[in-house]
Amino acid sequence: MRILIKMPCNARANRAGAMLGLCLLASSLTVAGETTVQRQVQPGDTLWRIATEVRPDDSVNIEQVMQAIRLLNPQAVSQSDLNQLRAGAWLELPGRQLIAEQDAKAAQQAAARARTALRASLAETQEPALPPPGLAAANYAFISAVMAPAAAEPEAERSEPAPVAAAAVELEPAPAATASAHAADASPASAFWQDVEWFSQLNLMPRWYPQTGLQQQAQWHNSVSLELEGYWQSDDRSHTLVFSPYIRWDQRDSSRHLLDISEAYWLYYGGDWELRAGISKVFWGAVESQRLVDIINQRDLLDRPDGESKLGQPMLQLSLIRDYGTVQAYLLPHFRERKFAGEDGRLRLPMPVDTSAALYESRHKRSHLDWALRWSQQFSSLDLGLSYFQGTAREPVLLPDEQALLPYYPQLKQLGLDAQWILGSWLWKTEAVYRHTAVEHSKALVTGFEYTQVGINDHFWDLGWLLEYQYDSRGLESTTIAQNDLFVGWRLALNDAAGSEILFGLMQDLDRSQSRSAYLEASTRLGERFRLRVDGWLFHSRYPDELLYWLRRDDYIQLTLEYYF
Amino acid sequence: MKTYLRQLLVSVCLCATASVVVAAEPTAAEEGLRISTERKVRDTGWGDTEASMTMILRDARGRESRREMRTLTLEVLDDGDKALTIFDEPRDVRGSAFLTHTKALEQDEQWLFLPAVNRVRRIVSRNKSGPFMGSEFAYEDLSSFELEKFSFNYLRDEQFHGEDCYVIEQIPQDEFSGYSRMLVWIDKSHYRVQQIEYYDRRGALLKTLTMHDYQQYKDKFWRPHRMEMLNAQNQKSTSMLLNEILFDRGLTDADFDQNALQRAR
Repeated sequence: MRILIKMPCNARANRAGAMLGLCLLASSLTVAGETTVQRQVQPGDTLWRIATEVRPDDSVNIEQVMQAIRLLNPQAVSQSDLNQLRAGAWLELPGRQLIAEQDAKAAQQAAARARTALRASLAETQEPALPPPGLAAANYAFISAVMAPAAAEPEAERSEPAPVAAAAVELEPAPAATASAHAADASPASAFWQDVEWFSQLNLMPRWYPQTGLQQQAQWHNSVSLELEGYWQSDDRSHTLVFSPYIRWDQRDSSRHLLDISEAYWLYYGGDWELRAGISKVFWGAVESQRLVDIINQRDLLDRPDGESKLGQPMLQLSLIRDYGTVQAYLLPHFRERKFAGEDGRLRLPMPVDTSAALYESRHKRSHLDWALRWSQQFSSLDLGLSYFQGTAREPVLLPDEQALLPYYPQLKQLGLDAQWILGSWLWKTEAVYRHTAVEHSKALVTGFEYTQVGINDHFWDLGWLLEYQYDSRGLESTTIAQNDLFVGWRLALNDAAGSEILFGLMQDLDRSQSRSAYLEASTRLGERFRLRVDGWLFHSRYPDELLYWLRRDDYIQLTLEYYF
Repeated sequence: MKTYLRQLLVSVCLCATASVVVAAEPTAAEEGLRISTERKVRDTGWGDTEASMTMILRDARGRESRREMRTLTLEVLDDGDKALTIFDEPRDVRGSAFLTHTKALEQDEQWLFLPAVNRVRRIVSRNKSGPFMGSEFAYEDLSSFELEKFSFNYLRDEQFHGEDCYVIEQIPQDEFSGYSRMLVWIDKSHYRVQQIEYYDRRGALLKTLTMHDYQQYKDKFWRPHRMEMLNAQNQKSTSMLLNEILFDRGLTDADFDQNALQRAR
């Protein structure tokens, strides 16, 4: 018996990715059982999208589904362009058994070719309409499909007081204790507090966008931040304590308000090993234009859109420093969610992101115990690192709901490599990752060099030339804007008493001439306690299927006055 | 370094013997090497130090700015020394740390730790001629003195700071050095450097460094507590003040690797 189900497919793939961490998601419907189902190809439909609707569960991969559809409908699928469907054609949709029979590897190769074509088809898409009401249920079906078998029904997690914020309150008495220490006698405790060094940094950050936002957001966005740091080290340098709260206020966008602990840890150094417990920040990597292997911390994209700013991550870290290199093991017990701009904020997508309704593949949600391992070694002119991470992905997939996008955090396994090789004035850099989630495997690479000309004039300026190639096998589905891009940059160090520096970078998509972005970072010291920074971004895109397109009116320039006290 | 020195001393002795046999004066190169070797020998065996320093930068109009830093140093007998410098002031670079593994024959290895991003960045060490922290000291002026890095010529004897000195011409062997040559005043009493004149690649006088307030540590090793660098071409100057120096701090190689760089503050 043949049941024909006609499904309207007017929800446009809301595609955008990138620095703001978005992924494609289409409307979907799970088709179960052995019933033969047909579906008419709608204008704009792609094989990938239909396969996501048809895929019964995660025991088969999406490429196998596409292969089975091709097999059943040779008349509707172009053989040269495996993603091309004849509009109006009726497709016979495969059952689970047929899908499972498809060779997974061959199907993946075919899919790789098809994705290139998918990109082209999406490029023709005009501005996506917002998903219609009633789509949410279908999304949940999709999520169920991509969830690991162990995962139960996904539940929207409502916001609860962050433990980190609670810790801030508990740990607050520090300044008071310092004050009392001055008054009190030399008890051990007061001696400790007297040894604590305190440092503070206040930032005033006016930011100006030459154009109003796509949603009519304002042009001026001012913000202020304050970071304190308390630092103590024992006389024999074996124990270190760091406590560093951070607060940020934004004039327009309450989502940018932040009360956080950027670091609060105890570090023990035992000669050839280290143990760190608490909230900290970890950097892995080598290249300039992107952060591929660096995965321990959640990024604070609201602070800086390039992801250089991070949120503190609770961790237990053991480092073994041996002849064969440094081995670091990390246990990461609590997950930090990504924050997104609110409705009045800039640098955002057309739909707001409902961060209070985050979804997780793991039933442990934020409490899933993530872990990571890293080995690094230095061979005279070569620095090499290998890393593995397993746990909650730091970048969410954004699922369209009725009024908002819901962040969905899948489980991720990531293998990373980073290397730097010095050859005279040339510094060669490479980062590569292999990522694996329930829905896809992907690879990404950034490789290039920095060539430094020293003392280019009588003032001993140094000029660095940067060139990096960025590749991501996910193509447009990539959560970064770099899938086949070239980065060119110049770093000028004035070597003056004010420590002035200028960095200019340009990223050009190699497939699309009208897709590029550029940034400028410049800074100089004013007196002994101030530093002035200028940061600017330009975004340019004519392709609605990529994130850059939604940022096209968000070019900005920001002044930062840093005051240290 | 030990074996190298031994060979050197042997060869110097042989030369000396030979010169006696031939009854000839040692050449300027031999005499320059002998004096510089003695300078190095007298400053060998100090082990490790921990020092706090202040740098005062002055522009041509006399405006000053200060740098506060601490430096850990480890003597490496068979190669260049290792140094870790931690910056305390100015405040915007507080916590930045700079690690150098000086190499006798190859390029030095250098890393910079940036606390704001917890990142260790490897640095192309060819910028040795570049200014250190915007001062008139170049990176190469602060790296450890290694015989292999130079060729030497004895020029003359001369009085300086009231001391009888040898004046030695020192020619960098590294093509990336910022200097064509240096003139070094070494006192005859303790083989301490009293003054260095740096000549740029075009042969013109670029900078003059003078050493002051020498103090002796461990009954053997002399350290200047004030160094004055004057740039003859732009009239800027930098004072490097040694506030405190402690020897035998028990430092090892483990205090000079990338992990130590991240721990340092």
